[in-house]
Amino acid sequence: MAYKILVFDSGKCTGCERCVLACNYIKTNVYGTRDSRIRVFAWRDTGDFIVTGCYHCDPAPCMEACGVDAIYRDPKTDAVVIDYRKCINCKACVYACPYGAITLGSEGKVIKCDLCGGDPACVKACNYGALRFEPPERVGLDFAFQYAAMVKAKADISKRVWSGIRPA
Amino acid sequence: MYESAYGSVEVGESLPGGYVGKVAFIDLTKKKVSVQPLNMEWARLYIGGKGVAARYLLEYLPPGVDPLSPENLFIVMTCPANGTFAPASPKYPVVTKSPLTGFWLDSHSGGAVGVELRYAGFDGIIVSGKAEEPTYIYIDDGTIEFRSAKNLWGLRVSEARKAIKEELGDPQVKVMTIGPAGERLVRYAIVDSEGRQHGRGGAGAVMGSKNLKAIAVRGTGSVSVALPSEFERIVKEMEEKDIFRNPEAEFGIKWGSISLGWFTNEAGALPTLNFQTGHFDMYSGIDALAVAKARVKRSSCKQCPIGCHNWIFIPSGKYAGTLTEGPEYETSSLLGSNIGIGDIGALGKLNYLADELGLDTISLGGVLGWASELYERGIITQEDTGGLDLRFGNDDAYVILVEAIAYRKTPFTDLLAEGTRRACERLGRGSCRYAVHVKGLELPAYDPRAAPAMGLSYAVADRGGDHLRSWPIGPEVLGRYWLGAKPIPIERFSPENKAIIVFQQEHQYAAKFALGVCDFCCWDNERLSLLAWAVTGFEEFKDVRNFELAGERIVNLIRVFNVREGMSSKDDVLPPRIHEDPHTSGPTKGRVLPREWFEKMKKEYYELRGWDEQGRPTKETLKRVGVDEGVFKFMGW
Repeated sequence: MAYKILVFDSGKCTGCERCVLACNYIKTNVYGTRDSRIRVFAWRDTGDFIVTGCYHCDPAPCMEACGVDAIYRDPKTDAVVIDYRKCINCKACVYACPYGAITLGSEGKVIKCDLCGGDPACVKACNYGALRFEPPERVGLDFAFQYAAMVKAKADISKRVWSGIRPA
Repeated sequence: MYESAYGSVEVGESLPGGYVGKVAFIDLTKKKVSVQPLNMEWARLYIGGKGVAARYLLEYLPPGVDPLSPENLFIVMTCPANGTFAPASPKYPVVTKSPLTGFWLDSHSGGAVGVELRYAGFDGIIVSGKAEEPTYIYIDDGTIEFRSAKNLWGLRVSEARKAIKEELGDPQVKVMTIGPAGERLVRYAIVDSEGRQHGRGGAGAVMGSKNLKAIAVRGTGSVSVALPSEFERIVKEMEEKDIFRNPEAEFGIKWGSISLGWFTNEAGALPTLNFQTGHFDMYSGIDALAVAKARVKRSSCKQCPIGCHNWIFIPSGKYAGTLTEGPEYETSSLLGSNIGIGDIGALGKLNYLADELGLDTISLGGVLGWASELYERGIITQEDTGGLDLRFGNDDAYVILVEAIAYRKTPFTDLLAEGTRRACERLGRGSCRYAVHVKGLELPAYDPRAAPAMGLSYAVADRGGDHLRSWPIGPEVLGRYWLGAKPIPIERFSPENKAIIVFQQEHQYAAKFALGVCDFCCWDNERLSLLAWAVTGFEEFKDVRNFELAGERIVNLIRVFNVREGMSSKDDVLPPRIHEDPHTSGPTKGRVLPREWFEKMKKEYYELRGWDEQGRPTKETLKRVGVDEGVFKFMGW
């Protein structure tokens, strides 16, 4: 199945929040932060930025918490989506989500990421690769590489792990 | 609709034309707030930001007020493009009468507070009076609250920001705050806005004089633009042409503003040892490459895809463990080459201290350079400095001195906290000969002896010696300039054809800043004009000439303010050093900016502007640029 996964790579985030603006705009046609399904938290004294959003879990706690079966998995995109025809706005999903990815929008309804139907606006707005939309077979590999590079950088000092392939 | 004791504000409501439509007048003395509609006539004429704020300042600030008295106004005004998807457009100004110059001051930053203020339902706030005790203002979606800042008084910038967020229990609150320097009325104190600084001119001291520690803002509303589909198209075009495929922007994306240092050092325009020369031999220790080596991460202002901020970490040496955002180019020069420091560790530490204590790195560098030169010339001794050895390049002494200036700890640092102009007047001993400032504002990092038009730019800039009103050094060193589609040749060391560059660039900068676009991006007037049109919906901006005219209108409006405060052509001068002391080394060795050149450029500039010999706008000029009728009374007509 040809679906893709939204990857948050906070280490690359510069805190511009263009993803937030893009998300808010595509959902409401105005610029703001309230209706954004993605959030960036900034620690401006140390320059740390953490991107948070929906991971479209499987099994999804929100889906299990919903008493009226209003949350379903979109077969096309693999996204966990709210069916507003069934939703009674009880907010059980808000409490169930371990990541705080479900909030209340400006219209008072629960809102969450739906991957824009398979073409997320936030990813297009990101200039630094902190948000990526990748096929499942790619997911995690660049984190693995980041870790490997970190090990290698340390190995340069200890001259132990990689000593076999380093020139003397 | 939110009801509060101070009136009600529709949250999330936005005029179709990119304005929120509300301005809050906050009186700290009476603890009263009145929310009034934005004057749309002014918004149409002066776009927003510094333009609109200038009109408010002119109208509501009585003439001749002491900048540090309760009567002075502290204005935070946002711009129409703030908070939209327009790239590199989160910049908003604080506007007040400067304690350093006594004239106009606007100081921009890309901190998140401006955007948040618009989401909270205000185009701007105008603060007057003085609180009885330390206070901060909390703006939460249209409600405005005064809160005690007793427990915040004395905190450094990042500590205060953190404490406010904890007190309000909301990490998404955006905070602009002053540090200890602002509290102690250091005349070049900054206002910090979420880690970015309103640096120049001492706006922090104005906040301090009002007992106003901070302004905290939380907004969950939104803004919109007048013409959404045109806006989307223009934003895409800007991203493509101005940012991602623009060689000038590429430098910014790759290195940040610090990359300018390579260019100015080679051109002999890098202020070194208190402007004694224009080339620093040890510059490689603090240049863009040194910063890139120490860089641990990047960050951006809100809504900006460029991300020019460098975060550096010093892993070893005397200053091990220093983590700071910066240094920007101006800091690397004024707190680096200008005081003889060629080590990224010391520079990073000074940068960090200045930001945390709330000092302007440019003015601070000017003051330190001036003090060091006096020390080396024997005009001041260790008796004056309190035992500090102020040789150029002695970073240990500077680190102690910076902290002492922020707290005005000793009589000597109390003197330095007044800025070079006041300090040299008070000190005497002929020390004013070495003070490098225009109208009291210390010069930034482009030496006019290597770029004559930069001298004109400093002399006539609305807020004193500053580089963000025009930037003629670019065309000068490149040797060409386009007048519309027509290139005119530019001879670098000559006064010919220079006034026109400053004249035209000032329009671009004024209009661009009023729109909210960063000076580090987007130099195409036509696209900027179209952006203004799409955001505000004002049809006249379809024609780029009207956009430039709006810039010219803002320049003239601010000149009216400055003339009212007593500015005349005798203030539009450069420090004697620029005319008399030749550069001692580097590619511009032996060069000065001859007085005749400067006078010629200045005369041409006044003629182009349509100002009289005293530098006052004539009635015909003001009519031609189309300021509103209400302005004439300030000129006595």
